[in-house]
Amino acid sequence: MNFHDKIRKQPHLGVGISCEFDGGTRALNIDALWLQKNFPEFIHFLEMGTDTSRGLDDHMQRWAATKLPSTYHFLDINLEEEEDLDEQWLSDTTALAQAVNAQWLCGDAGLWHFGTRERGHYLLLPPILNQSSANEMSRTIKSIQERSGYLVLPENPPAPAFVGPLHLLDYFARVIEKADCGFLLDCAHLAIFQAMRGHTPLDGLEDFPLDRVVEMHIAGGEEKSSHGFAYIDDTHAPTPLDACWEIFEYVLQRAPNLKAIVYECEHNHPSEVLPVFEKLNNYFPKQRSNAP
Amino acid sequence: MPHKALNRIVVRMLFDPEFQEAVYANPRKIMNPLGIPDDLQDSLLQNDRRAWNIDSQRRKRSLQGLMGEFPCSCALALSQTKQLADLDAFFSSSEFHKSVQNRGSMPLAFIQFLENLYRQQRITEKQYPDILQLENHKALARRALIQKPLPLKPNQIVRQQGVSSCALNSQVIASINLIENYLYELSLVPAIALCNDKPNFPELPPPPEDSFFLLFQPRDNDIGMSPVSIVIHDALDHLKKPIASPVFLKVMQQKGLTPQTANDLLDSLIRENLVVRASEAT
Repeated sequence: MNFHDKIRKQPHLGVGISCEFDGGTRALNIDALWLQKNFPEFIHFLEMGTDTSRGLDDHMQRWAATKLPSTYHFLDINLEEEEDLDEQWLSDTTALAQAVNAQWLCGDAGLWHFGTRERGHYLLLPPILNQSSANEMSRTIKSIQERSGYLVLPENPPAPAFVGPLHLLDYFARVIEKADCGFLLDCAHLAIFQAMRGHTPLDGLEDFPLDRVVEMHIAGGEEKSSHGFAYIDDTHAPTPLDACWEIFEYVLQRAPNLKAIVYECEHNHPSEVLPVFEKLNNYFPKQRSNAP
Repeated sequence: MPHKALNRIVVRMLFDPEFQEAVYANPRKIMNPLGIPDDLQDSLLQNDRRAWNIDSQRRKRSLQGLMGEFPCSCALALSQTKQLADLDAFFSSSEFHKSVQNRGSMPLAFIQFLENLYRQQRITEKQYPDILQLENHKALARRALIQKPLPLKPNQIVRQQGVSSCALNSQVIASINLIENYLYELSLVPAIALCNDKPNFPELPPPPEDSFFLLFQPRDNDIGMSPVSIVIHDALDHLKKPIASPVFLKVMQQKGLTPQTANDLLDSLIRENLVVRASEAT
């Protein structure tokens, strides 16, 4: 079954919120169940970010028990390194995704750790933007899709520096075509890339296969400076930057297979994020849904 | 694959500003031997070098993780050098750089770095080698646990994954207890580091001539330790790699055990889950 056959069977999830393992113990954290109970018109699914060494926390398990939709966001596979994909990771990840009835697997595509999966090796790096890297990433994704049965959505990662001759969107267009997979477009991450490379927010989108965009992320960022170097920090603050909205609105109108939008905002006070949830639901209403 | 080699260069640059300088100053010298083509090298250098240093806490966070696995060795090292920079220097060391470039394990490279501190006489405390050896065994055992079991032929036996033993001086446990108590006391009030009446690092007992054997084995989701006899230590030492059980029994008889005692020993090792037979391992 190819991507287009698979995507026809996927439900329209609407707007959701993200969480990471034990996020509530590290910072202010919006309880997705509380938000869903009090504002059911705003939040329709939960994206669970975790890894095979930590598994599912209480928050994730409580959400799964409601049978509301979820997606599984991995934090521990280097899609750019074929050797990182081992049988243990695959079976553990598949089991976790099944335990929460996830619709698909997704996550930042690049490196989540350097070297082997080891304590202290954690770090999030974007891929090297060249053809050999795109080839390797596509093979890893293809293998996960075939062996797990799940649709895999690589996500464009954030970084203050990118290496390689290709534009980020050109790179991922090559990956998803070869892997025959969908794409998770993080609008805030793309806005960072465009700014770092001196592009306008929409550069490269005209030629990108937007029919592969299954999910979008939107989040706030902050303009910062380090030793005089200006950059955008992906802080997940409540207010998305203008460039992020510009990308979001452009893609929303042109992505026929878009099924889900995640507003990454869980570490803010609910009162600060509700207006954005309302706006997102106006843009992308759940009513189009055939999901539960 | 040039992108992999380049990724590892990027990781090394993120950790080591001196290495960054070297890459920007002599890119071809550093990256040509790794097979990274010129266009990729140039795309790396097009980035503003300040972009690599945004995360100013990266080394400290990583050092915290490493010190969590080797707490007593690190505390003992710092008690002698008095400079955090001496451990922080790991991220500029050849051990670190080799480990990253070869897709190795950073904690295991850190062990080599700590061993070198003693070899270079930066640390002279006599308990240090045994304390490091003990923490090293635990670190290796944790990693052995997640490795695939060794393939065994019929009739073969091997040490259970995560099981090992070593000889240590008889005061090493007392020394570790003293250091752990000291670290515990500091952890109760970390701001005590600012005070004149902070606790002093304990004086450790000198290593005596006599030694004992310590067994490491998986227990309670980590690695437990218990003293064992020299016979068990010898037996486990011969079972690092798979061997046929008759060969093992013969070796133990050559060491002075009767055939019956050697058989009983093997049975008890298997019963206590220290050794695994072919059928159990597969």
